[in-house]
Amino acid sequence: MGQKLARVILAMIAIVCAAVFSSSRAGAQGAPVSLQEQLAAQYKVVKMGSDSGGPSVVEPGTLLAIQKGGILGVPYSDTSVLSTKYENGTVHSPSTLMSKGIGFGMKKFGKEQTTHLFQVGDKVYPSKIEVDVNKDDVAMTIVACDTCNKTDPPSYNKAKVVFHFSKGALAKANAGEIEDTIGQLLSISDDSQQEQGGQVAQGQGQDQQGAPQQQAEPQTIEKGQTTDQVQAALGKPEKIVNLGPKQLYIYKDLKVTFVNGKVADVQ
Amino acid sequence: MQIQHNLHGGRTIVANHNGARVVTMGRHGGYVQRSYVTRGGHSYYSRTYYYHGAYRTGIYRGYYWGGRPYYGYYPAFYYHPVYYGWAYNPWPAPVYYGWGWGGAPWYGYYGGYFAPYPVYPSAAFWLTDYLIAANLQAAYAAQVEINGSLGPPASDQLLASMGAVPAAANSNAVALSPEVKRAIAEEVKAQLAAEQSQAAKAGSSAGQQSNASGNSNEVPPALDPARRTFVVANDLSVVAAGAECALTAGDVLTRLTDTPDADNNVNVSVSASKKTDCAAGKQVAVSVDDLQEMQNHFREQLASGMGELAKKQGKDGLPKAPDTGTVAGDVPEPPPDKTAAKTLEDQEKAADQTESEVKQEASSSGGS
Repeated sequence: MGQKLARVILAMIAIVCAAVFSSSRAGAQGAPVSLQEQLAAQYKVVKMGSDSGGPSVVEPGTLLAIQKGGILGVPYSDTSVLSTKYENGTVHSPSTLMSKGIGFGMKKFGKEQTTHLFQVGDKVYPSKIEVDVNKDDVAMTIVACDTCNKTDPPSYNKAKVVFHFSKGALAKANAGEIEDTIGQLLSISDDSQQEQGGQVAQGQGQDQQGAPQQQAEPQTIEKGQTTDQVQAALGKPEKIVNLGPKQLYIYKDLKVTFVNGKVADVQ
Repeated sequence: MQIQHNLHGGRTIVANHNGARVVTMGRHGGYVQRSYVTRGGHSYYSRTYYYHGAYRTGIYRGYYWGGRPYYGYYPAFYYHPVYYGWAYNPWPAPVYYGWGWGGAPWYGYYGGYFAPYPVYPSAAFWLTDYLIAANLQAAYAAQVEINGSLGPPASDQLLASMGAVPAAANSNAVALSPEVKRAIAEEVKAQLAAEQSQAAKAGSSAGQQSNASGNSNEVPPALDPARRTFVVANDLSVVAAGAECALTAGDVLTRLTDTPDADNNVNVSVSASKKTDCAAGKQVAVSVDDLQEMQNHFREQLASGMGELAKKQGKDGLPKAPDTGTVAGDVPEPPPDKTAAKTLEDQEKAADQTESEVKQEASSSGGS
């Protein structure tokens, strides 16, 4: 009875709050932010340059991690980019006919067509995003983060991914839904926040210099170490559970228990 | 994913998924924050709050300071400057105003903590009571949600209050002293003055956008040296002199230090608190993120209060305001993210599962 009354009170408070906020803002509507603008805010594009050594990253963009295989790339210097289509959760790689056709065209100029299938877990930067509301397509061109992927010599393979949505979807969908769909294939890396070009990049990845370093030696965790020391050795945990003075850092294959901020147990 | 339990039984879960920040604060509430737009070199984020079936949205400006991101409330619209001036400056004569809280459970429950002003010399004081009351209602609602219902408060907290009360006359006898309330009122006035200034820019042909310059290392508003008084917005667990204690919505803090320590905390003093929370006068460390959220909530409630005042001006003894019209800000209000409810629900379930696994592991390994 008491709980039912409490729920009714809470629901009424929520409705009143929503009404107050919405009514107080009536009559003050600016032009809506376009989907293109919202995606541009979410996905900062990489700035590429080139020197005598070839192409290089001048300013990193949002770091993305590939979640599914099938994206076909070509070297950065290639003028043609193959389009990989993503629709209803499925990756459609470019047809071999198309790939061979481009290869044939390049052979005429004395060049060989080289293609590269991106692997799950590969890190890439977006280099261009285009929204076509009429075609219900969002096209994203990506460039490999060679330092992240430890590609040597660097290739900066690039690819174009076209996310195709159902008819009329882009006109009415909010940016969150589109970003979630893009995230099924190209998820924003968990390496979280960093500053990029005067902007706060939420949930964005590390740049080239900040790319995850290969651990030369096994890391050791000792009893009595602080949370900072453990994070310095193991990186950010997947989950943190705070239970008053007891705190759990949960890694993929490890659970570290802190009591009053010091390592008390490792499992 | 970070799961934080507080001393009153509540739980806050924070996680980042594909660039979205998801924060749940109880079984039925929370928000989803996403990148929204970049204007004038600044990043803006949309938040969709979901609580008991209702959505509301807000804009937050990104700050990046000391290697960390912060998100500060950013208005989607402004009132005309003259309305802020009316709210800031004294009214022609003090106003007696009846809030009608007499029969409200929260008001009786927190009667020993808070009493509204007997009269209002200006809108700033009316707004002060409005936002303190809003916080106490939220604190009461949060406790009811956790406990099902609340028993009677301690006898020294009881305040006989039945029917509509114009204002309590015993404001000196409550924990939230006139001095602390005055400090909150000063924050209200400072914020009104700041928004009046912004409103003037928003209404001018120059606009705000053209004035904005990319500032990649700007101090978040919570660390503005001019901002010292903070009203707690959500339940927090902090440590005072080695012992854990709670802060709940409506408690009042004074920030003592400007520079965060290695753990991103600043020192604050508890200026006023409820009986079961950290005692007034205690010094505690609070994270800058939490202070920023308090400041955000303060500004949201102030905007809500200004809206209420615009509706009520000229009625119930309140003087008539000159102009309550609005002008759009340079970043339009985002539409609600209708997937937020499911996102929040999924996060709650994931946290339940994580805690269940942790408990199972703990019990299977001898409770260590």
